[in-house]
This record gives sequence, structure tokens and C-alpha cells, in this order.
Amino acid sequence: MSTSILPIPATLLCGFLGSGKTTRINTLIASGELTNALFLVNDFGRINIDAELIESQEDHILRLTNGCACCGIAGNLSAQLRDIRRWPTPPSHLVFEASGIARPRPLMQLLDAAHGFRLEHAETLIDASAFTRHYTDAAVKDIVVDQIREVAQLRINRINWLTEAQREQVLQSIAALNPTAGRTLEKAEKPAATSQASSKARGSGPLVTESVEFANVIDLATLEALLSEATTTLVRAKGLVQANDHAGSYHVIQLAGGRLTRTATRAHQSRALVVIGYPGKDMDRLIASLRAL
Amino acid sequence: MTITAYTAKAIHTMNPSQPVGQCVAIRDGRILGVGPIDEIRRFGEVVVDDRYADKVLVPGFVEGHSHALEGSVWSHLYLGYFDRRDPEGKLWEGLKTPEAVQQRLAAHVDQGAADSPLIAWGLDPVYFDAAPIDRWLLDAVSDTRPIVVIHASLHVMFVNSATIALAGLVDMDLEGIVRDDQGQPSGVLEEFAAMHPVFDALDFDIFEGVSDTRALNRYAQAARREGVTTITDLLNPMSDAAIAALREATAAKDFPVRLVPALNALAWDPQMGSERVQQAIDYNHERLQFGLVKLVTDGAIQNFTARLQWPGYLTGQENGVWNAPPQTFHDMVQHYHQTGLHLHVHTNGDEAVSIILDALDEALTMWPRPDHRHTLQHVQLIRQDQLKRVARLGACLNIFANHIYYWGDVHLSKTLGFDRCQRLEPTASADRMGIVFGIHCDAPVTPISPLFTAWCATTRETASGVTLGEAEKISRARALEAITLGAAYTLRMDDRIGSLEPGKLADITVLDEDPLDSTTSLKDIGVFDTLLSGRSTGGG
Repeated sequence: MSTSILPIPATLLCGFLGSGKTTRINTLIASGELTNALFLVNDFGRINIDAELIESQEDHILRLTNGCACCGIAGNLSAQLRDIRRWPTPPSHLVFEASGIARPRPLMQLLDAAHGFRLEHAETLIDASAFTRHYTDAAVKDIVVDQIREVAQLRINRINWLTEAQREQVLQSIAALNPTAGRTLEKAEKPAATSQASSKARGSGPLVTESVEFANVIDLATLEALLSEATTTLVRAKGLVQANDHAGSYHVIQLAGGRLTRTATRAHQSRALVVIGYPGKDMDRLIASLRAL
Repeated sequence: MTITAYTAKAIHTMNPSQPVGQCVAIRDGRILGVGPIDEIRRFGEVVVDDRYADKVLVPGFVEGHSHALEGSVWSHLYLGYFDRRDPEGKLWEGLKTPEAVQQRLAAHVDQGAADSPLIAWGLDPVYFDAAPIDRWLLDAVSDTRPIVVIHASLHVMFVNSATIALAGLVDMDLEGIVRDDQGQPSGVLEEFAAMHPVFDALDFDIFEGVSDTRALNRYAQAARREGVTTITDLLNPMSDAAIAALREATAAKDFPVRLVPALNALAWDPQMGSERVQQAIDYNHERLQFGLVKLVTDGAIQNFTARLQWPGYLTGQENGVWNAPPQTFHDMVQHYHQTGLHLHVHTNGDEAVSIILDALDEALTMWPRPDHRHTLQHVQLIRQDQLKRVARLGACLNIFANHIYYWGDVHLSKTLGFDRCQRLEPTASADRMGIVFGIHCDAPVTPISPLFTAWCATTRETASGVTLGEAEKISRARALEAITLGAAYTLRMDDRIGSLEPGKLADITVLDEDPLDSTTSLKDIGVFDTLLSGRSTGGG
């Protein structure tokens, strides 16, 4: 068996959805502390990491998907760890970002037990601004509690989003759950209030609703560009369009909260887009451009 | 074209307009009609076939929730407590004592290479009174060949000294390695951290080969033998290799069942997952139907991993586990609903049911979609208020009736207690509220046999003979509907299968006795043959 002589040091990052695990990984990458590291991410959505940054560091990212019906990720991780060790050039460090519902203890045990690995560090990240909401949600409370109790290091972020009194209360609750854990407090910028900042650029007054029917298939990239440029004018857009690709595929277009999403669909009964936005020249121009597609 | 008319002792069509008959006519693989032979002759020349004259014909059974793992797990030695048939029909007697487990292992220990591990599955010592399964018991079989016995739950493993040595367990510091008074491993390994060194040292994976054509063929045979003509594989990876295997296996004209795979949604980015299924739909043919998406929210009640609402578990830990954050399930329901695909959501505990009903409520408010048929799977503990929401949302259920027999005793004494055991698998309530439902086996969790499943729903007897929830029993007729038309509806196939109606595919199950007019227990009625598109699959 071709096993590297020294075990690969492993870092485990736990924490609920939105607790800042991916940000933490990006920080680790940007700091350049870890060279030739493997980042193993157990996530169910997209990996939100700056790909260019990773490439420049020659680090690897692997996505671990959920396999077993009731065992969570553990079975899958077990097989993955075996594979990694057999790579011709194994990584010099492993950073495992657990999924939001993972309990740390079994993962810490597995990383410790896995031949060729050594658990170096395990921490749980906590979004201070979401702590109370999670802690009072019966569907996730038990998981949040275990995530705090089972590690020796807690990283509590967005602490500056709370008032003084809230901060005291949250920190006390966390300390009551794990009095001996080391704690790192971090601040984070509030999300930019884009709608306020850009309000001057758009018209005002009551919203208008326009419906655009498409007689033809359309170019999705052009449509997306048009809508993306118009996010200050538009409040909402939704509809169904047929693309000019060879399959003539249909897509649901959604714009809400300034975020544009496109989803391929089997629906094919209509080809129309409803747009809701502020009246004015920008809106008129957008409608004209959409009709010209 | 030739018209073939099969005569029978009785035919139950599941078609309310023409519920019974003694002759079914088939042309071009479809049902031409059920009725008196003289009426059928008006269509033209008829070839009368009396081979089933003393049998009873019903619509082909539809198993709406099982897994192709049933076709591959039999590569390993069966050690379960209950009698079970392998895909080839060989009966493996249930093992009622630790000695019986030992004897079966001993009988197989000389098969295969001496240095290869002997791997067995299905063992659950909860049924044994005294002696534990440990390394001493396994060493008596062999202390040189590695032996690995996997617990029925897949969460525990029993190993002998040879395996302990190979995996280096003696010096490992892991809480899942159970130890004796001297601090030596007892051979019991709990959960994946402790099982990992064994998988690692012996280099095997119980899920290997799940989606190759051989496993699919064995799976189809196992289903056919129990009268199934349409079967699901309700958690398929839908990798390129898996799709290729599904296409290759079902391309054979004599593949004996229609196969309905569902995408394992948690393994895919939602956008890629929905595109994957939509592309695969182009491969659909009469024996293969893509279009389902499966979400697995929580674990299983008997493993204490299902998510329960208050008061949680009767004994042991307080609550179970999620397979992904509840928010992820919520978002995935929104996404797949919008794509027009058909969701099947594993929800064992009532807390899991609750979050999925919330997600469906929002999806249907934002994106109204009549006749979506999203289906909640298992729903073992679903409450009355939740059933009402299911009805209001137009969702379907597939209820895990077999659980009452296999784990009812455990649920009564260990996991749920008396009151919640009365509402387990509430088929009568679902029926009363007009919810369309199927009942299922979840093979390999329990064996495939729709007649056995129907027996469970009608008698609600546990393995020890206790009746759980008299008020939730359904009639034989309703149970027969659940394993045919009800399940077909949850798969959106009731326009083609599920009843013997003119125009539908001639999928027929041939029984030795009348399930609706017989004193024989449903589970003891023999399956004589099945017809798929009017063609005998070989039994009779």
C-alpha cells in the first residue's frame, strides 16, 4: 500500500448554514498559510469559492455529495478518505468543511481514525446574528447545541450585527453550552443596501406591470444581460421563455430581490415574461428591448 | 391483429365501472376489454387461452418504493431473523438464535479465497434474548479468515479476531469500538468512524455494484416472482454509468418489469440535477421511465434517526438526524417543483413531514400547479392535522405498511410507545380523507412482496402477533387498490397501468387464489405468473 510516511494533518470546520464556513476557507486560502491543501466540501448547493484564487494556490477542491439514505455523509467520507490517501501526490493538508447539519464528534473521530490522517484542529463557526433563531427552532436546535458542545474551539462571527445587550445574551448562551471552549469573535460587514444606494437611478411612483410575449425563441444570454442591467428599475420579473438552443429548451426566469435565476423546466405552455418595476425611461427602454428580442 | 382472451376463475380489474369479469382480452399488448367472451368476439376472431382458467387475475402489482440494492446485496451471505427469498427464489431461513448464525457462517466459511473477507448482512441481534454477537462467537467459525457481519441497520458491524488484527483496532482510540473488561475490542463496531478502519483494511463497500446490469436483472427477477410488473429504484445516483446500466438492462425485450428510477437529489447541484432528469426523460421507453426526483430528509425510526416531534423517542436518544439542513430541503422542493419534475420525499418522522409540508405549501402558493402528485414516502408517524394538509395540498402518500410487522414490537417497547403505535402507517385515515396512497416494502429494508404488504395493511399484526391500531386497518379491496392503481397514481402512470381497463397496457398478475374472496391470508396466496404487455414473464 502506497501510504505517505507522515499522516496528513486535517482541519474540520463545522457550523450551521450561513455560519461563515466558506468565508473561512477563502480566508485560509488567501492567507497562503496552507500550500498544497485539499479542501473537501460537503455541501448541497454550489461551492462559493473564488476559483481563480484557488488555481493560483494550486489547491484542490473536492465536493463530497451525500450518498447513504440515513447515514448522512459519513459512509461517503470514509470512502473518499481512502481514495485521497492513494493519490500519487497526496495533499499536505486536508480542510474538511462539513455540511450544516453535521455533528462534529463522529467526524472528528473518523478523521482521527482514518489511516494516513491526523486531526489537527476542529472548530465550529457560529453566526451570532442567527444564533437565537436557530436555538429556538425545534427542528435544528439539537444540532446547533451539539455543534457548540463537541468542539474545543468556537469562531463566533457577525458579532457587530448585534446590539450590546443582544451580544451579551448570545455570548452567555453559548458559554453556558460550552464553558471551556476557546472563542474567537469576528466582525463582518453588513450586506450592502443596494436598493437604497441606487434608488436615485430609477424612476419613482407606483409600480407598473408589463407583460411581454415572445413569438420566437430567444437568446438567453441577451435576456439575462438585459434583466441584470435593469435591476435598479425592476422589482420583480417572472416568466417562461424558450431558448434558441438546438433543443429549444424552456426556462423559468425569476428576478426577485435583485437576484436573477434561470431554471430549465418541462413546462412549455407559454412564452411570456411579466416585469414589475418603476415607471420611467429606463423601464420603457427595457420593455422595448425585450419586445425586440 | 390477434386477440387473445384469457379465461379465469375471477378477474378484479380495479376499474369501478367494470370491476369484475371472467375473461380478459388482449390485443397489441393492451387490454381490449374485460367481459363475457361473446361480447369480446364482436372485436373479431379470438384465440381463447385457458391456461389461467383456475386462477385469479388482478392488475400487475406496482411497488412504489424499493431499491436496486436488493439485486446486489445478495452477493453477500444473508443472516437475518426473518425467512427471506433471494432473487432466484431460493428460501433462506430466518436465523432465530446466535447458534444458527454461527452455523450458517460455518457452512460458508470455506467458500471463496481464505484471505478474502467473508461478508454477511441482515443480522439484527435485537431479536435474540441472551448471548451477544461478538468476536468470540465469530472466532469459533474462523479465527483466520476475516469475517465481517453487517447489522440490518448498516450502522453497526460485527467482526472476528482476524479482522480486528487486519484493521489494527486494538490500539485505536475510538468510542465506537466496543471493548471488553480487559480493554480488548469485543468485535462490535458502532457507527462509521469505528467501521471505517475495516472498510479501509479490507477494501470493500457494501454498495458496490448496486447499479450494474446484473444487479438490475436480479432485482427485476426478485420483483417478478412476487407478482410485481412495475418497480421503482427510488434513490438512483443517475451517474452516466448508472443511466447506461438502466438503459442496457431494460432494453432487453424480456426484461420482466417496468423500472422507474428516481434521482438522488442530494447528490446533485439542483440546477444540474433537474437538467440531468430532463435529459434522461428522452431515454424513456415502455420499460424505463425517468422523471422522479427523490429527497431523503431524515433517517429511520428503528435506528433512532428519524426526526420526531415532541415527545421524541420512548427510550434512547431524544431525536434523530437530518441528511441536509432543513433549509436545503425547502429550497430543493421550491426548485424541483418549478422545473415541473415529480418529487418523492422520504419523511419517516412527523417533524420531517412537517418541514416538507411547509415547503410544499410555499411552492404551491408561489407556483400553483394542479395535479403535481408530489409524494411523501414512508410517513410512518404522520399526524391527523398533517394528513389534512396533505389532502388540501393535493399531495400523495406512499405508506410503509411492512414496518408494522417487522418493527412494530420494537416501536411499542423501545422507540414510540403505545399511543403512537396505534397511528403508525395510518392507511385508513389517508383513505378516509381521500388521499391517493400506495403501500410499500422499501426493499432491501424488508422483502419485496406486495401481497405481504397488503396483508400488513389489513391485519396490522406485528411479528409477535400483537395488533397495532385496529382503527387504521383497511379492507382487502383497498389494500389491493393500494398495491396497483394507488401506487401507479403516485408514479403518474395510472393512465397506462394500475387497472385492467381498455387501452391500458396488459400488465397482469396471476394469483392462485382470490385475494378478495378467500379465507387464505393475503400473504399466503401464491403468485402463479405475471404478464407484461400481455406476454407471460415465465412463471406459468
